[in-house]
Amino acid sequence: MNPPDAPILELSHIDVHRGGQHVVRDVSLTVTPGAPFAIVGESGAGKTSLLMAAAGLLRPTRGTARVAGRDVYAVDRTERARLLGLVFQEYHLFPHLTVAENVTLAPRLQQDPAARDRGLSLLRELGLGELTHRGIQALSGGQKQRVAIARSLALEPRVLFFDEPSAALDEKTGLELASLLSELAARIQVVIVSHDRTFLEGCCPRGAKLAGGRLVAEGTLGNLFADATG
Amino acid sequence: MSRATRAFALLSLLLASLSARAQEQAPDPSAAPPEGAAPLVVGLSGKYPPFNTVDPAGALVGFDVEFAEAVCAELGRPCAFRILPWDGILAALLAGNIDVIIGSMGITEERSRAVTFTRPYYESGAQLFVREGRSDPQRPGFRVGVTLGTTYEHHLREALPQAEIVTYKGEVEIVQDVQVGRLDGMVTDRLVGQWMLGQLDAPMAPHGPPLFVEAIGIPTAPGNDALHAELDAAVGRLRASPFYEELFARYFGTAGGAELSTGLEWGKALPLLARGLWMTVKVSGLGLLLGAALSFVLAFALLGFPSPLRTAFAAAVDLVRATPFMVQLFALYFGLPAVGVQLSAMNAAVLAIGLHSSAYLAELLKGAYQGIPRGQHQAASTLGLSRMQSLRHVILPQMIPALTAPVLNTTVAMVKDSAIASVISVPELTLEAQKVIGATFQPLEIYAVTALLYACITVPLLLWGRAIERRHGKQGLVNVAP
Repeated sequence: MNPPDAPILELSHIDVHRGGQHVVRDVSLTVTPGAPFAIVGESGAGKTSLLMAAAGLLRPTRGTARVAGRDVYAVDRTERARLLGLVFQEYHLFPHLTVAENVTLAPRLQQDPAARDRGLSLLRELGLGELTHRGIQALSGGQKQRVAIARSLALEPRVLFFDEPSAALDEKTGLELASLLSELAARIQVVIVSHDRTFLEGCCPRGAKLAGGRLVAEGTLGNLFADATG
Repeated sequence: MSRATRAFALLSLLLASLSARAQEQAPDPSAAPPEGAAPLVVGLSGKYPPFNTVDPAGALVGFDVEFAEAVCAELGRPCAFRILPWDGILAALLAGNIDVIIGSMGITEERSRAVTFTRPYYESGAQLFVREGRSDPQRPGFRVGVTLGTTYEHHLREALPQAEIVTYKGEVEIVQDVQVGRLDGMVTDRLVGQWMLGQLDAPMAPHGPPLFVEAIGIPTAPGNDALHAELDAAVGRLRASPFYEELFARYFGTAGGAELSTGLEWGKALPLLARGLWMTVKVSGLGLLLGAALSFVLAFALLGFPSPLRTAFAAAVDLVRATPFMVQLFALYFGLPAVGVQLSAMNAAVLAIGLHSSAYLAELLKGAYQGIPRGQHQAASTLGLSRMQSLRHVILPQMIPALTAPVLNTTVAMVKDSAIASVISVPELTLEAQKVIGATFQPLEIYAVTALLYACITVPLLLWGRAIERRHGKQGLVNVAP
């Protein structure tokens, strides 16, 4: 496996075009294993596009993305899901399935009983043990988010991305999430895209900043917000 | 009505000339001398009592039918009767769908240019019958009914230039409209009219001398010289035989000699209608299954990347949706023989329903697919599901609630449209109903029962669709954003 200080996530020279716009411009970024890593920036700075590209949902026009040394674009979907997971801003749970089925669908189709058991025990760990047979319509926003986290973590990815995780949460749930993310950091590399400074201060000591599609700063969270009002 | 039927006549003529040309290029194998017990396929309208009609037990009866059987016996071949609409019957003959017409077709110069007639097997003539109390046929606006495709309309125009001529597909409908007073009179065969006055309580009487005298023969398609010669000889032999004298006397020589029932016997009519209902279920069910299978292929193509193939599929779907089902059915049944593809009436109907419904179902599938949020595809992808797994386990299950009600509506529409298959002689519910009415002259009761039988299929489907809509309305499953 990787030596302990080898980068867990390496983006090099990523360019993304969307709808005729050049939204990510030559971004290179290296994340070493450790505390949750924040990607900050104003709306439209290209954060989500960079995240989509890193997660393999969007093919960049140029550049490479590696997780634990492996090329994200060179592996098939099943393998990629073991390299990186993504918790969407709107969670994108499957509305026709129960809580448990949301978590066990991929393990079942991929014939991975260990992932299935992991998913079900994660649900209990995250306080959703009572809700496993409910439909997802009945859940609160915070509960939905935890189902989405369990769904991704069941597959044991090396990196777990979050897209604006605090956007739909009230302050209390946001604080709970921040402490959950710090706990998760012990077993997995967490990367968070957000522009919510208060929330980020609760979980992420380090990160990088995008503006106009370019990487403009990297370092401690204090540094990222020091030179701007952001 | 009259414009539609005229368009229909034009289409039939066009198709007839097309297939006639095709036939010249490739000689029909049936032109060879008949071998063994290959049946002689005899076309007739089944709506021309007492010459040919269907009795309540479902059997073809009448003067033409008995004469045709005698002709077949002379030829040493069994008769296979095919009931076809009169206005499409020549096209069917020219397309090779039938071998001969033994259905009281008058020998005319115009027809003789397209087909070859035997010597006459009987002579009759056109007679104007006028409804009681509407005596002056010369007045403008006098409404006279004739059967589309007969020679009567021509002669009637000359005799009554002021009359309004209304064309019908069958004699039965004309008599019904005279009975209810929608028509002032009708022109029909002298013998038929006399027979009807004896059989029915029709309030009308012959008016003046016959418009003309008509000779009735048996037409064959061009190029069928051997068959024509055999038929002509057989007609000659039969007309000189005691059998013919007896036959003619039985139908026309003595009053009310025919055995056709005019009373409604439910015990006989209901099994016929039930048989028609089963055929309706079969034709529309098979057609819809075919349509469902095709619609998946179409929807895949319509949702794929832009390409000439997608453009072609989209144009085909639009064409099917923009043209009447009846025209599509005729194109398949009467048009395809011109390029060498012969479909049975049943197969043509199943194929037409399949093609027609696939266009609508494909649009429904496409709409339902596009209604699934993009995030669902993305979530499935980040979880490592393949495209097929994502479609099967994530996308399709979410499409079904939104699809069920509109698919049921399309199903109901196609079950009803399958009635149109009656015009190409598929013995489904509507055609069976028309046959029963042809024998009983009781349209109100029979059509009421027929409507009820259609409702037995369609109403449960509609109720089911409504229940599903209501349930999903409550659950908020349709168009839900997770």
